[in-house]
Amino acid sequence: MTYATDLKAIGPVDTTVRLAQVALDELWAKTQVETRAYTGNIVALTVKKHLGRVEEALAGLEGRYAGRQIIGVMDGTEDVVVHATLVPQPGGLYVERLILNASAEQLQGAILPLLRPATVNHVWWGADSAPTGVLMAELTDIADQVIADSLTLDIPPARHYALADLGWSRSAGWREALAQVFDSSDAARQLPRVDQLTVRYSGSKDLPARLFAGFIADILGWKSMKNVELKRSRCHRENGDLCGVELRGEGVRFSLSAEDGDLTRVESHWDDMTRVTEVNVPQMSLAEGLARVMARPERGEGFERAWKLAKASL
Amino acid sequence: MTGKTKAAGQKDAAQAETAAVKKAASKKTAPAAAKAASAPGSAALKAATPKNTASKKTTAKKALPADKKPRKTRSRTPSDVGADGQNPFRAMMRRSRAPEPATLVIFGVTGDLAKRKLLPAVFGLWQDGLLGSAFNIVGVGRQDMTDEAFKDFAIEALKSSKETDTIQPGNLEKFRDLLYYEFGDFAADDVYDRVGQELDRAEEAHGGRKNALFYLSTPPSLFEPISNGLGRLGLADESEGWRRIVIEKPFGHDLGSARALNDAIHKVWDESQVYRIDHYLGKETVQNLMAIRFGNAIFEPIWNRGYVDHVQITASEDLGLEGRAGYYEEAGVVRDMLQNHLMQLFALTAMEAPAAFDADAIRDEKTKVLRAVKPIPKSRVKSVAVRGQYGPGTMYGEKVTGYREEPNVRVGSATPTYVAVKLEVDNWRWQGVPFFLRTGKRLPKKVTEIAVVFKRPPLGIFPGGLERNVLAFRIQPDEGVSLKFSSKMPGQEMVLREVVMDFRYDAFGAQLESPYSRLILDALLGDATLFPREDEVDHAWQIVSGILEMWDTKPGQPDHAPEFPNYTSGTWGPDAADELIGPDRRWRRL
Repeated sequence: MTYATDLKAIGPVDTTVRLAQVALDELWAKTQVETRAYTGNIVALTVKKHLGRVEEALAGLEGRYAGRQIIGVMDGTEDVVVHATLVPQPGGLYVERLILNASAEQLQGAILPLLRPATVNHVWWGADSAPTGVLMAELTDIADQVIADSLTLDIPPARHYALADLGWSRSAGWREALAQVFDSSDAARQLPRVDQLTVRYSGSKDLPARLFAGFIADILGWKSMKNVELKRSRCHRENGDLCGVELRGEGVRFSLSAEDGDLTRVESHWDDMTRVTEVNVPQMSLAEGLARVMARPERGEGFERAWKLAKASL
Repeated sequence: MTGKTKAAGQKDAAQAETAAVKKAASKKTAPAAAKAASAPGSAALKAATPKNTASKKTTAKKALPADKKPRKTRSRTPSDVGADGQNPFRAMMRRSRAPEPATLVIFGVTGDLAKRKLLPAVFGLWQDGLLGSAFNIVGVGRQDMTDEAFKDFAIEALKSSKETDTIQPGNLEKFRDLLYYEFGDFAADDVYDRVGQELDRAEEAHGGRKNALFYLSTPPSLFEPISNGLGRLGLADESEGWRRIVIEKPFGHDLGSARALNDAIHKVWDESQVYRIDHYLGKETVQNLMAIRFGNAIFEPIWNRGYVDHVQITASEDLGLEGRAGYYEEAGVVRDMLQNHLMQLFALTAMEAPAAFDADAIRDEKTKVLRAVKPIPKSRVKSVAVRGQYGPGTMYGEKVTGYREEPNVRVGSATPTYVAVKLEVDNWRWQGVPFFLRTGKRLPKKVTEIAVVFKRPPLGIFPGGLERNVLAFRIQPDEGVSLKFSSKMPGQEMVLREVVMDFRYDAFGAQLESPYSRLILDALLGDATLFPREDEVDHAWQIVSGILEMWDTKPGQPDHAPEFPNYTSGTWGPDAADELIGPDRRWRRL
């Protein structure tokens, strides 16, 4: 959940890599705020085309996840330009933001000295192209977590960092809602009869739906996603968000369908049982999705198994 | 019978509109059927049984115990997933379990606590998707009210409470559909019978079992009648679903009444079903005390008599009575704050490391340290406890009245509004380390803090005096942790000065959740870690019993209200408290 703030951003001011900390200290002095959130770094790597969206997402990210945001814009010039800003947070707090325009090679030497030491490092690959070269390699070395569109960019889970996917994160509400259907043991007992799965999604981006389907297929013990259908659908949710899911088999059907607002209609049918309920599946903004993955609430193995099935289905 | 004839007529009309509901209703008694069709709108299938429609129950096998661990996914085969009734989708969830379908029954739902705290907390949980669809709230009171009137009441409470989360569009209307109301005399059976029918209806609607959490948000005098009433009607029986009871403070008026109440409760409920709520334990920073103590290696080695000089626990309030004279005149500060909130903070500070972060392990350790507290018989009270009562004074630049001038306070009242007590713990860790606890009304500010004051360095090699290090946990406000230590002052001389390294909890940039939402969710999950157990409550009463006996005197008896009022509003309490803490120590100026 993000909260509004009436505070204005302090900055930006132009500075250099060497003087960035000084510039930030001068900005802090203007706020008369003593509390600083030394909770971690998030390094977001992107290109000019996506900079606005990345900035917007990070603006909604609360300081509890990362007190310093470093945005590397990789299609800049050879000269590194640094913009320092304090971004307002609820409760009169700020987080530090440094935007660096440079080439990927230059960024490698610029970002590492700017990381606040001895805290958690998150690296978010916020670009369409697959990461190559030394920049990403260096950053994954110091990263505790790498956040990426893992299926598109073909970044497999690795042992030395935790891989997170925003598409996976944003389906969290759907996973919870689906689990609630089977909190009733009589419904859970019908699961062995399920042999078909349909996941509907909004817009054109099917990867979050694919990961969600991978999750369900894995939980059901399926070895592949051959019985899974992904369908584009119309619902009021954002591109890539889920619109619904249906699990069915001989004489059994469970479905969740997005309705107005955050509501989702849940229907369960088996034998002569019919159950209709509604459940809240809160929509998640990009910032909330980021916050969720950075909080790392789930066990990685569930994502990794879902990822493998989803990847194999491509 | 205190039924709702008018409402039932409307319900019958609604009932006729859906075949599905007819089928469900046909399985029930007439009143239950009428209730089943009592949803708002009364015009559509959706409305006929509030959010859920069940046409027929399946022959469900008895569900496995809720605390049974999820099956390991590696051993699954496509054919058996879920066949045992366990939910395989929960295996990877953040919480190992989410609340099972359940009904929250709030007795005293029209009271102040429910209005300001409980309903907003439950709404917040529901809005965040933590309670699921198969969840209802049944408000129970003595006041004659229809479901619709109660729904209006609850929605208004949510709109007016400062504790309510930001309301997302449309959610109030949906939450409204989850609400029901029953009323009646708590001494008679009717009202419990209708609560039972509500559970039947919920089971019809969402399947599963008839799980219920009974929250007693009532005056203490009603705890026993309600518990007995629930027992008489079989509502404590867990054969059809889990049943838990949440009991608000104060749990008893003294040791004897607490034991009598425990005995009465246990005639109906097993201890594992009883959740005695102390909302202090739901506060983030109280839980953070455990996180910092047991999640870091650097504190435990020095958390003992070898390094700690003494511990101060302060819970000061700036408010006076705020119109609660009726309650406070009977309770006083010892029952209102010391026996429960401060004893819990003390136990969490002084206890040994638990073997695990679970209910029994933590409560075992808390009980052990409470048991190790040196008894305070009447003969010791004067040497280890100080009482006070506030007189007139000024606060925040305004004049305020003294306690005895507050509305509805007895003339010459001897009720203490301040207490400071010195606890000594007879165990290896804390032998010789006093714990000073103080709490009072009309003190300069509202602040709750635990301060661990360390011993001075053994040798002073620098000019000037040696100061003590202090590790302070601020519970409220400005939640956080600070460490005071000495550092060299800049300059040519080797002069040391105390500085404070400060961690503020708001550096996380997150709004703190209501303690009630955390505790209600835990109770729904069956996690009693943050709820005091019977033996904890008993030991806490034992510790304060001598103080109460000494101070609960009648006019004319010795020691009745000595020199009351003995502190001015807006000051840190009576001078005697400074003598209590001793010559080489002083209370923290907060």
